Amino acid sequence: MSIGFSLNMFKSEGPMLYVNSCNQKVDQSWIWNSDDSTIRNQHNSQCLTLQDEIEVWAGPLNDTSKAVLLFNRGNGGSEPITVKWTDIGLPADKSATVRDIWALKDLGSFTGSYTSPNIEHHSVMMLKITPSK
Amino acid sequence: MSNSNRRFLVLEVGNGGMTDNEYMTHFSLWAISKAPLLIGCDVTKISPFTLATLTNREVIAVNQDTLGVQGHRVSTTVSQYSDAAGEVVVTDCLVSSSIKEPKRHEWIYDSEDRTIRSKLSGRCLSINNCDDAESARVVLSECGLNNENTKCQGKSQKWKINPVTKSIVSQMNGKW
Repeated sequence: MSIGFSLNMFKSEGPMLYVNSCNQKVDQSWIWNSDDSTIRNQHNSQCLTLQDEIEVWAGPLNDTSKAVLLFNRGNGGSEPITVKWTDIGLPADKSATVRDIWALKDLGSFTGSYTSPNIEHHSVMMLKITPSK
Repeated sequence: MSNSNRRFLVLEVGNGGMTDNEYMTHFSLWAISKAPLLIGCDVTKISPFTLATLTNREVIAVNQDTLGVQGHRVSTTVSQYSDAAGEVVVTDCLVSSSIKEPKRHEWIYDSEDRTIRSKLSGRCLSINNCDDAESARVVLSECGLNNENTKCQGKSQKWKINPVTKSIVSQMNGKW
């Protein structure tokens, strides 16, 4: 007997939220607490939460530089995003050159962090950050 | 998010439905994640913007870098705009952004109109794009219950919370 679509936690990516046919399994078991206004999954006691809107992604390249993505995944506005050297595996006191690789343009040398101009929502700035010798 | 769980399909750049900025975002995420860059649009009808996006040498170089190490998310913060939130996850109740602003995990359930509203922005827990299929995404969007013109008559924003069965059932397919 189909009893509709239930809010369902999908663990492999996020975890994010979906609706699926109601199955009364743990991923569809939620505890609504009107005292503290939380909605917790019964399986892991985690909270239904708004995801952070501003993300920094990074990965190493073969020449000791880092590829960095400043990602505004919010649904509105435009704002600067800061990448800290310590978040991408560089010493905080080290200077590094920053290049905007979409624009194919060098932005200069920075120490400890780089703060971008405003980045529109649903948009990115992609950088190559190369520590100075 | 662990690397092993990431799934990358063919690129959607140039297929319509996204803005130019969103195509650059999509291509950037594929590039930094070392995902295969497989063009998914009709190259006989490619726009100049799409062509430029798909052929940026330095972005492709990140993808093809010989070290071959996937990039990943290294930090997250909260937007300065309180109504910018659109995605909802299930996470530790004490993540740093929730400690700073508990409203990020606080919800108001209205048992009359059946909405579940974020205390942060007042927006409604919704099935994305009125999708009535299995595994439709659930997101936060503007509440539109009282608007006759709202897609799917607001059903994508109506939920029945049942404390006994511990279920939260959508009205979307009308079977609650």
